[in-house]
Amino acid sequence: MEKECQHCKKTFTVKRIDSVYCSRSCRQLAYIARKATKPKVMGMEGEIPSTLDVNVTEDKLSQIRQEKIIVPKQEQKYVPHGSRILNLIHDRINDDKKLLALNTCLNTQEDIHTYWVGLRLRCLLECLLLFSEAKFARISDLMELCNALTQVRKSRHYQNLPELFPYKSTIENVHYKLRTLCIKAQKVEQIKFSMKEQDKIELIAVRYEFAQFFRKAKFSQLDFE
Amino acid sequence: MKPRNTKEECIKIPTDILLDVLTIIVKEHIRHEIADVLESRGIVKVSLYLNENLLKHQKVLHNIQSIIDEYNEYRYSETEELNWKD
Repeated sequence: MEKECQHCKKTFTVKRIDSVYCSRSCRQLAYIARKATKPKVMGMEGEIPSTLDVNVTEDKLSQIRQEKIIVPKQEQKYVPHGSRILNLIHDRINDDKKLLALNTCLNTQEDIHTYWVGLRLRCLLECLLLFSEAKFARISDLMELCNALTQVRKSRHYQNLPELFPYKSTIENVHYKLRTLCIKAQKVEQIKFSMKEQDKIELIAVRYEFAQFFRKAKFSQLDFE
Repeated sequence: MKPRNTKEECIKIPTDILLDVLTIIVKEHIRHEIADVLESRGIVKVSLYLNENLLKHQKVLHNIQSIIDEYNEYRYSETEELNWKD
């Protein structure tokens, strides 16, 4: 089957039924000619000439190929990425009134109880977070933490905490989960201690809030009764 | 061999934010490799190969470091503790 090339107008034998140009160079020359007829090209300054030279020859084409096209460097604005986890921690700390309530507790007559409990809870939370990041945690260590938490909850200081103390439900939730885990895994020596994302964020936030008021203390230096 | 104009930056990424940070590294086409995994601390060390001439690479590094610093501030506040008991 024969066709007429749409660029050089010569007749050629088609290899494919949808062929339009006789050769690659005709296809490219036709492309350049089409581009040249477009009224606006990015970065083009000045007036658009009324007549355009669309008859591009092979020589011109090779000249164009050799020319380096310099595209003006544009200042790309970098938009910083956020972190989903950090945003969740932010939201938890910023929207919550717990820090304010804790501050109020420390200004009441029961502040000694708040301080006693807060110091121990901070220590226990630090330990729990550390375990959650380790590859394995020994069950005996987790049990020791669980027992310390039980003792804190049974202590007279915990019983006498101001009504406003905002972390009771968090502590009870952590204690319940830890105790359940220790009971389930008591026959093994070590496990991977992992937390749900929501629990971990809550513990990070509580630890951060406690750190504003209570010093960091070593587990071995504290009594929990 | 390290290409010219490339500097290596080693960053320690806590596993909690690992996915967020790796997303940035991949999206911004930063050449990287996992240098080490500190299993006992839940930290992954990643080496980034940054083009010193590219302002964008510096901005990406700053972006990543600020995320890690902010997370560390919330997570540790003070110096990181390794021994839970003593």
